[in-house]
Amino acid sequence: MIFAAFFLLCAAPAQDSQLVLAADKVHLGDGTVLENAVVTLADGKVVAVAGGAAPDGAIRVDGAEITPGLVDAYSYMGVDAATLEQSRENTAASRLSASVRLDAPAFRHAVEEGVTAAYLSPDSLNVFGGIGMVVKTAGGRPADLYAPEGSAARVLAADGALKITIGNDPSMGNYPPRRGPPDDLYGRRPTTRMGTVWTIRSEFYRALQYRDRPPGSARDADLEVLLAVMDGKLPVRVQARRSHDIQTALRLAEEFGWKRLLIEEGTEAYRCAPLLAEAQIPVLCGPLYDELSRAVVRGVTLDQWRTFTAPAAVCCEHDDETLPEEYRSVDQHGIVELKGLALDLVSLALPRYEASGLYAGRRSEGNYATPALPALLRRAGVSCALGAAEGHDGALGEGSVIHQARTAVRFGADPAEALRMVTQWAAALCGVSDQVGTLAAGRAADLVLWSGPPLDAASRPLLVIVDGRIALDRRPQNSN
Amino acid sequence: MLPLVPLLLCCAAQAAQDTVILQPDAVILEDGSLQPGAVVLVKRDRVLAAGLSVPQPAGAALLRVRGVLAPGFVDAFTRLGLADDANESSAAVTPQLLCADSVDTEDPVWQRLLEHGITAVHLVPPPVDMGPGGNYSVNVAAGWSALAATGGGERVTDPRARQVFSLHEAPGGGALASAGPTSLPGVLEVLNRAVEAGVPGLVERGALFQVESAAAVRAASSLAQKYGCKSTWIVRGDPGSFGGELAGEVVGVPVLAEGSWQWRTPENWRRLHAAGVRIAFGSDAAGPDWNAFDALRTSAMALSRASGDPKAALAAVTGNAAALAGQSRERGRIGAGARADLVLWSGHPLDASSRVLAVMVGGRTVYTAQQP
Amino acid sequence: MLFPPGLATVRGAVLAVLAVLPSLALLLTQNPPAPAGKGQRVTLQADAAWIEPGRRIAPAFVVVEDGKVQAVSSTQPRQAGTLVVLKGTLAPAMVDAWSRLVPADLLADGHPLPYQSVAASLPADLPGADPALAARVAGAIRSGVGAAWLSGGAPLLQRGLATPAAFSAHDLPVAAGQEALEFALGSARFPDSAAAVLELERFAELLESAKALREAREEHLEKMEKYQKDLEEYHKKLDEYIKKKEEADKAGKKEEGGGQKEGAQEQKQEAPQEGGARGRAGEAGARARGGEAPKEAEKKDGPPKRPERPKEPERDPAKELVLAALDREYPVRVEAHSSAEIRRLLELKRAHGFDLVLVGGSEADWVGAELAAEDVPVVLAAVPQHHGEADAERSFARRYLALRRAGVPVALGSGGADGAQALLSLRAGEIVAAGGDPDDVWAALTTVPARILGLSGTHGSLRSGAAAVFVLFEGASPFDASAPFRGLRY
Repeated sequence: MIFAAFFLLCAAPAQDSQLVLAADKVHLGDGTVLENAVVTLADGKVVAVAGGAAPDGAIRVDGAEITPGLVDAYSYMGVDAATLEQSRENTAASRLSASVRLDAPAFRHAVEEGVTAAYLSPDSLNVFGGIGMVVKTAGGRPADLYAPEGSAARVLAADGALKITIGNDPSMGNYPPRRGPPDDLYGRRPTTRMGTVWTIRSEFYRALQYRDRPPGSARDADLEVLLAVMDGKLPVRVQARRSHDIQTALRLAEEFGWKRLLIEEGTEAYRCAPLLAEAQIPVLCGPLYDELSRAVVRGVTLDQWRTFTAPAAVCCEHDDETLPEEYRSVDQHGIVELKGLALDLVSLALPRYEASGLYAGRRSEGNYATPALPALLRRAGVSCALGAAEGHDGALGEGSVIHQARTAVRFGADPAEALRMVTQWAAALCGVSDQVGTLAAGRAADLVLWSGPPLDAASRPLLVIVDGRIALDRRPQNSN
Repeated sequence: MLPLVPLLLCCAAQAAQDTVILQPDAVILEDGSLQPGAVVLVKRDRVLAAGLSVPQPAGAALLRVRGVLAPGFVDAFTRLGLADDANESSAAVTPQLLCADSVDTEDPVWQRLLEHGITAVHLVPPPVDMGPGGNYSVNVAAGWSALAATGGGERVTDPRARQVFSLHEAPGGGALASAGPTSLPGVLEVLNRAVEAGVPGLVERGALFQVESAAAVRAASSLAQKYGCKSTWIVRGDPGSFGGELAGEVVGVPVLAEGSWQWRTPENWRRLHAAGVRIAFGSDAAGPDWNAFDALRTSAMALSRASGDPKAALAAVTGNAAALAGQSRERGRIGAGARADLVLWSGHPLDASSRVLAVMVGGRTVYTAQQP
Repeated sequence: MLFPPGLATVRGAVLAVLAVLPSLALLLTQNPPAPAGKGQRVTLQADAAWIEPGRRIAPAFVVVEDGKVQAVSSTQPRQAGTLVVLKGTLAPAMVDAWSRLVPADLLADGHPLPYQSVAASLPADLPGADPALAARVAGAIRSGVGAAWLSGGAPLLQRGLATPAAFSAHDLPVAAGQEALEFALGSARFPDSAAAVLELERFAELLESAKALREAREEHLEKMEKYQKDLEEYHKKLDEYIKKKEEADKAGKKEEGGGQKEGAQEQKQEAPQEGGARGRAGEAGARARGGEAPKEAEKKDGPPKRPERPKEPERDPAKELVLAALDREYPVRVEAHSSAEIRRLLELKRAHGFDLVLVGGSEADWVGAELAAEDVPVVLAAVPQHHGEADAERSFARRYLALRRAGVPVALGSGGADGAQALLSLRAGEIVAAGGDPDDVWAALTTVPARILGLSGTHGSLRSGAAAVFVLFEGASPFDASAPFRGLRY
């Protein structure tokens, strides 16, 4: 039913008419909140945002709040292994726009979660994955989906950034056969993390040689992308999870003069946060969910945290008691927010928890994951945005960026900042802040009308507007 | 706690004045001898002088400590702290590869190493991987080894320690994936081509040859001579079989029981020592195994017992190990110009009943032990 | 107190090291004294002797004759024989509570038998009988080991009967002390596998089936007793019958008698065989007692019916060994690591009442109190065979100390790796470094294993009658590798 309505609405020609929305609170995306404000949209753009009473005919729901359409800073919507060229390790010139499935269900799920724009990152299966792009999650005609790069109405930026992966992903499972020539393409791929870095280094050296090539020699599209990175024409996004991989990315940036580096996922970025702050490298925090944070979300006692910090036995399965008041606050939905000491303990406890050997899979990536990552990064002065990564393809809701923002708040992030991590800052780090991410005159008419405060886990999008068109309408029947 | 307090104070004192004189019960001097009453003059991260008569600059704080001050142990070759313990096997020749790129700066093993008096490790991937289905591939030119400090400040102190070459007769018991050699002559051919093509830094930093036979030693020696680079060694076969070939050389000997345990006995080490080889022990550990941390000292003690030469045994985990990593001036000794990587032991470091009391890396006290 | 006790020891060690070192180079060049010939009396004069944990004398004179210690004193004896002056402290050689100094065919996992006997597999004590084994034993003696437990180590749940051994003049092991039946439970054979649990139940079943075998055998003996009586009765009747028949034959019917006679003789020939079987069964008394009348119905004039011999229960040498262990003829040495297994093992010990020695025991410290309550000694391996995760909190030394605090007797063994005897005293030293008492740790290498192995009379301490195998060390303790240390034998 809902989906049927959604498609009908998509087809409805709403762009010509002016839309006026009013709400008790309008979050502009840059941290400011207007009380009792009116948003006027026309021709797919925001015309005005101003305080005042709701004019006649304005869309208004009691208790609802408006935010800009959310921007997912790092996702894989419509991207899968089939969109990634793996025949070479360096496919830097391959563009997602040629292969991304803009009609994938993940986009629909994203709209339902209030996401109106998303950065699509090439998969991490080879070292140089290609160039990512920023798209709207709704709108456009079917013909746009396979239009030449950059021309589709859905596409905000065709050349986002070059994706490079450091860590296990490109080397995982690659084993050359014992005898004879490799029987599949995985035989030639790096088998270790250092081999991955060696691939990066040798390709950049090749690019430097290519720059000084004799005139008339053959062109190499992949190396030209690498040159663009070194010339500062294209940002580079390095997917790195472990602290030392992030440090490797910083070393490589210095070595090859990458002008704009961003870290994707950055699971352990808090462990080298001072380095990131000093180099002014932003982090696009990946999914904040892992086994441990799930346990934490269930509610943990102070005693349990103390046990955590001792290398002795640890048990995080009990959820009968909660922390004393000074370390937490419980919102109306019974969700625990850790504060002060408890937050410090999260970051302190993890390495010891890991060292205690009770955590399985000791040497794999992500064991030091903490949902407090955005809070810890902000505390160190690192700019960051949130991305759902694979979230939209998985279970509905859990991985969406608004859920990430709520989790970040629960683990110490400032609520206003958490909202900016999924709107203004996300747009800025994706290079599209002139179009989306904030509600201001001239910006795209992308907004979400929430049933309550957007960071309240009980709130949900009632109305999602993309480019002035209603992409989702779940308003109660009796509202105007 | 009594013996530790002064060293802790020393840390505090250094903040104010950067020159201190450490006066323990005894000091293991550069020649490996235990010298009672000797003192060590430390300025910032360096040892300025050590011995019985040391100039005492004005303003230097004199700090008495109980125990024996020994140079920090150096693990001559290991994989501890490397995020990937495998060797890169996508190509036979990867001389530009840096082990340093795999160094896990946050690994808990660094602290464990410190607690065992090991202040530096030389990270060298082994020539053979243990993959699914057993040994399967060998990297002929494996890239650069790295030297990492286990405590204090920067983790990787030398990302290009030695260029690592492996001369195994039948690499991985078969061919490397695409165009790997299958015999020692084939390995040599590949190696010659690689070196001919140019490995920047090879002559300055020297090569580390991993060998299994006397034939490989001879081949590697002539290769090193041809290109004028220094050579050090890691032997992975029967050490007795090439003792004579390697007399006077610094030779890394693996001590952990992985793979060919039968050669890893004190009796074999004694034969190697008797042949005039300068043994350097490498734990060769891939992970925090039951004895990955004790192995070095236990092996040195066993070598001391077997050879009756405690100085050579101590050198195997200090000076010789540092020399294998190209750091013989910097580490593995207490003498003028060396880094102040010092370990305070409750007795002689080769006495099994001694324990680590405190560890100083680069002039900073980074670990003090609890009373048992 | 100015110095904590641990610190005072440390200081002592340092000073002793300092005292010893200058003379080190000179000593290294000194050749070990040649072993004395048979019947020769030699007196070893050393700076000191560590007779057993807690007892030291200085100086020390140890009189040796025929490979045995005759006397130990701190004054020079009158009939000293040849005097050999040794520098350093003389102590009894160590007893390796867990070694694999066995012939090569027992090391190979060829065709293991659950009832194989290590003692029976040892080579004859002749020069050149097993040069490879002799070389390994010589290495152990050089490392200061004077006797060892020789583990059979078959890759089975039941590993057979293994034995302690002393070392002969030809460097060959000679069975001595108390043999024991070895088992390896799941955790020792299938680390990290669910099969471990099944193995434990198999062990329990094995004990039960051994008990069932005993019951079956007892029942069989009862039946045999009755059978013997019946047989005697039968023979009596047969004789009577034959007599009657012969009388009847004489009376007239001559043509029928021949066949009857032959049949009777056949049956008579069997009788001595039955007697032999009875003798084997050890039931000689059965014949002496008066028999009851046979119950089977017989025809008045027909031949008597021969009683049926009861079926003997199946012979199973493996189970018979288990049975012997349940009868406490042999102690049971079980290699087990997980605490759950050890608990269950203790339950089985309580239920069946066998003598238990726990070997391996990676998690034994978690059940220390229970082990102490049952007085089960634990043999820890200084050099474990398989790899495991290093846990700083549960290092070898800390496990030892935890067990000792709980009151469990602990012996150290090399753990079976070849040449690992060289590491035995060094690993023991780590316990001292972790806070262990040197005397207590030295006991774990001498008196405790000697007691567990039943070698107390000849090994583990310097008393008259002890085997003349020693360690001589010049450092502060036998744990010090910076000073000369060697094994000696006279």
